Amino acid sequence: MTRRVSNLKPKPWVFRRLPVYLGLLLASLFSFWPIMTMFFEGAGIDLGPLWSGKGFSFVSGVPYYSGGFFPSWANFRDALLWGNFPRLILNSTTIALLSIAIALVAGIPAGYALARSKLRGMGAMGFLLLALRTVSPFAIVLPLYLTYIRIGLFDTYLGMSLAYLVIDVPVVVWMLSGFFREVPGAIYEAAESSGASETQIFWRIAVPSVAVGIAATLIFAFVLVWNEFLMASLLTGAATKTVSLGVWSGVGEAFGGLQSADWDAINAAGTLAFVPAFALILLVRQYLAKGFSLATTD
Amino acid sequence: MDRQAYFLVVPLIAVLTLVEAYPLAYSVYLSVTNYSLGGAFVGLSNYAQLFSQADFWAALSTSVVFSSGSTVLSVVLGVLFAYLLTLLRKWKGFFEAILLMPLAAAPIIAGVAFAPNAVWDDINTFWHYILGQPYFNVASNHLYLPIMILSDSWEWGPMMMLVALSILASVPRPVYEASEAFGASKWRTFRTVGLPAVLNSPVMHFMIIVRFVDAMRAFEIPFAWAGWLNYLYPGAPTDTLSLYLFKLLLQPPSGVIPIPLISAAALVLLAVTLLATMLLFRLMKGLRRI
Repeated sequence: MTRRVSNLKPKPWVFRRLPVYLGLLLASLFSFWPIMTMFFEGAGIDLGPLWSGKGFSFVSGVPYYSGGFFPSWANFRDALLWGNFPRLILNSTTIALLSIAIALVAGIPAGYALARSKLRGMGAMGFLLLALRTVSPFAIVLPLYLTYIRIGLFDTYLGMSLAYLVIDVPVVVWMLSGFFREVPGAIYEAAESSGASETQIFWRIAVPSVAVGIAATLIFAFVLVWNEFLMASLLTGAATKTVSLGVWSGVGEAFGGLQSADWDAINAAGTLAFVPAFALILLVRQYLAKGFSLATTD
Repeated sequence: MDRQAYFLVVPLIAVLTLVEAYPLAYSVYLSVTNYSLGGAFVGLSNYAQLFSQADFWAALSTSVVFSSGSTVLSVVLGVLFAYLLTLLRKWKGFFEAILLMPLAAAPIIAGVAFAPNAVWDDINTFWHYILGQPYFNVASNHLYLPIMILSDSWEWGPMMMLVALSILASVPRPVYEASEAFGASKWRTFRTVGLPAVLNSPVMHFMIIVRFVDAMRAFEIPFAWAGWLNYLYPGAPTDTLSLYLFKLLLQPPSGVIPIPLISAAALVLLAVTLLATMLLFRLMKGLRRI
């Protein structure tokens, strides 16, 4: 391979770095713009006239922008003060926390077993969780709906939390087994040789050493449940309506079929639902990729 | 340890029995009986009825196109973003945070943020007034499916980016240094060292399969577009299978909710996705051996 050795005469800084920053700028615009537009629409700012170059005019000598320039907080204020958005936040949070608590009770021991045991069935368990993710929500929701109506769980926090186990259990088990796998085996061996029982190893060594991983898993699962839409739209009534439903159907109205709320209210509610989720994702970003390492064992 | 392992998975199995096995078994039962007419066993006639509907096949093929497109595009975007981030020395955390934004957005937000009168309004105005091109119609039948795919990849590309970043970081530093010592450019180093590492990684393969599986159930983005384009009837061209079933449930054409039909369709979707998952698994295992 005869290639010119290019670092004998370095190109000037501008030519080396400009494409990088240009590419990043484009990527950032792609990621950021839709969210920004959503916020602006919610705040009653329209950028369209700016891009046409025809938005500015002088009205009796005073510069005037026809797209609306000063944000109005009315939609956000209405959602938070007059609408039932606080109630939706309470519903979503309660359902998510209850569901994830159950998922953790099942997922922490299972993740530990998947990571430490070399039995054949354990690999099959990992694959089973992936297979269960292929299940269409309709195959779950219809039976649950018919059952819930009969036993009185419809439109209750417990019913919704149980339904959301479908979403958070696989994620919890995958991520936790990844974190458990990261604990060096020598630690377990040391504990075993100093006479600790399996129960002690689990409670005193394994669980404390993945505490941060458990927190990260909890937060990521919380965001997943917070964002879920389809199951919520079929299994909640007035009492347990969640935030992501409120984004679409507007705040304070009953959810009816494919009806949506007015455009500005949707965008304001979308922004309000997005901000906490983004804060949580930022909090756990460095653990997310690490958590999905179970597949390395197939 | 191995003896206790069985006890440790008991809670998981209990949970899965309650929320997966029981509903699935119930679904199978619903799909072979006539629920609204007293619940008598009717064999596979619900499936036969389902397969005879053109809307079902259209929705299924939309789902397959949607999820294949979205899987490929989100991997391409994720790997590209990861490469751009590795070129940075300063501001890396800041740009990573910005690129991660879509990951936090609910799928329904992706449907809202890419609506015809949201971001496309800006792009169309720019396109028309600054570049002098004629307006394009986002809602046209040629554009909305690619746009739905784009907005789905917009949301999940960042997840692929995180995975790609962690794989790129796990390549031993001396490999990069050797490549650069031979005079390879950053791009060439990425193409010959980083990219193969990412594309051959089992973690990446696992994430690709999860992405495909999730996209097969995609509902929110097509749902939002059905709202924007006023396609409220079952069998409209934006319907993925999930949306088609949702419309059957809320606005059944015959007035009676076709519960057996919906159950049958959900089980068919499950079978198709499972089959595709197994094929992908095989394919990727084969690729890794080469």
